Order: sequence, then C-alpha cells, then structure tokens
Amino acid sequence: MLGCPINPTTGDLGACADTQMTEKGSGPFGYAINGGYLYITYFSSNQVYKCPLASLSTTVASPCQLTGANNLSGPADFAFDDGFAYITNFDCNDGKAVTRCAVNGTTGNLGPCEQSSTFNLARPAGIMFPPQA
Amino acid sequence: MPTQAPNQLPTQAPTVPPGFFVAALASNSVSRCVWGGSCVDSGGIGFNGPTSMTFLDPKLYVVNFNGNSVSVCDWVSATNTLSGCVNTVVGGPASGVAAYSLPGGTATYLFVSVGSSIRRCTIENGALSGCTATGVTVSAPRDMMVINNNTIYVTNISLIRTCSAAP
Repeated sequence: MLGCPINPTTGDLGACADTQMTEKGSGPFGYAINGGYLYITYFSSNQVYKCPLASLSTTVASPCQLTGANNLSGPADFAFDDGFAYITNFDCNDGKAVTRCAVNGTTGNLGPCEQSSTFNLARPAGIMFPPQA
Repeated sequence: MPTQAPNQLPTQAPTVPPGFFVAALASNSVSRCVWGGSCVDSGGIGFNGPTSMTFLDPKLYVVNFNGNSVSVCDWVSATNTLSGCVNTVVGGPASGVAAYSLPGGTATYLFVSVGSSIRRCTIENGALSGCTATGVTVSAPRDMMVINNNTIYVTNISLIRTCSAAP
C-alpha cells in the first residue's frame, strides 16, 4: 500500500512511498478505519489484518496482526456499523456476497463471522453505510 | 422544569431506513442490502462495473471500472435510495475513490484511481468537473482513503482476474 502526501494548500499529490504494510498478506484490496485500527483485506490469502493507526508510516514497517476473521471468500471492501464489520466477498456469486464479523472492542479482532445467504450479487466490491440523518 | 403540552410528541430526528449499499462489479448494480434480509435495487441507474463508493452527503460517488466513469447520485435519506445519477467520464477503468477538502473548506476534490494513475476532480455543488491527472502513477490501484487529512493511501491489486467462483 502506498501513501501519497496531499499539499494542504493546493490539493496536489506529492511523491508516493510504500507503507511497508503489503508484505503481510497477499493481494491487498480494501481498507477501512475503526477504533484506532486500519483494517486491510487481503484478497488472495483470504485474510484481514489490523494495523494500529498510530503506527502508520511510509518508512517503518507497521506491527500489523491478523484479526481472526474467517468465512471469507476473496475479501474486498469494508464497512463498520454498530459493533460489526461488513466485508464484501469478491469471489462469491451464490448469495454469500457479504461476511459480517463482530468487532472485539478491546482487541480490535474480528469474529465470530458469518456469511450472508441471500445476497445474490456478482463480484461485490464496494460497501458503504449511509450517513445517519 | 419544562412542561410538555398534552398529546405533543417530542421532536425526533428522521430515521433512515435500514440497509447498506453494495457495488457489484459483475452485476452492474448498486444494491441496498439489509442484514438478515435481502438486497434490492438502490434506485440508481447507469452503473457499469461499479467497484468503489464514497459518500459526501447528500451525494454518493460510485466509480465504474468498466464504464471508465464516476456516477454521481443523489442519496434520498427518507427512503435510503439513490436517484438522479449523472456519469462523468474519467478516461479509463476507474477502481478507487476518495474525497478530500482543503483545510478551511475552500475546495473539495474527488481523487479517482484510473488505470495506473490517480486523477483529481473538482466537486462544486456535488457535481464533478476538471478531472485531470495528478502525475501520480500506481500499478493496479484499487482502494483509496485519505487518512489524517494529509495523506491518501492506495492499495494495489488487479481487478482483472479469473477464479473458479467467478461469475
């Protein structure tokens, strides 16, 4: 995963650098922030890692750890809501488009996780909760 | 102690109907799904290989990998649906998207990963204009997010792949 600085005056992007996070799993796909962690899905290795936000750096490898999330099939994007992580399964085409995992409020780990059974979507990727009115 | 007139209900914020949005690349759709229930069409139209989304209330921005475009849709909070989608061509397969406002809110931008580059569009009254190259190139960019309001992070993985479960 690359980090590219934004010029706060012009909005221009500067030179990007590797965050040294992508060596953890295989096929980094999507990510989201929740509770002080940056969560990253790894499509090819069917894994989800968590990295402390405070450690995010383009020069030092972050102490990322596996979250324990399972029941995944090509995890893609995230959305967090009300104590749960919702993760799209890019490989699923049989109703199992989304996996929902409970978020451990203390450790940030994910689980138990269960797959949807009636979400018949092909190649689900992005997922987003609407703003609350 | 405040009093309340008989039969007068306290004012409550309007409730958004349940459900979250899912962009499905091969379904060419953005659906609204309710956990424990099912997915229904969001009401938005014109998607072509949608992959990633970002909200900037009251708009939902959806990038179209196959359509080489960004769909800008109105989000209707009362029904939690989409309407009035307008497509802006960005010149290549769009895979990731992130919004960013300059400190002070003097300008708002939408960064879009297009092909192997990142482009920047200006947002004015919700609409996109002036989508131009930033000069940044990334191999197979995928998801993007602005963190700490000063850095945009980009994952890179090819969306063009084959697997046994592929539709």
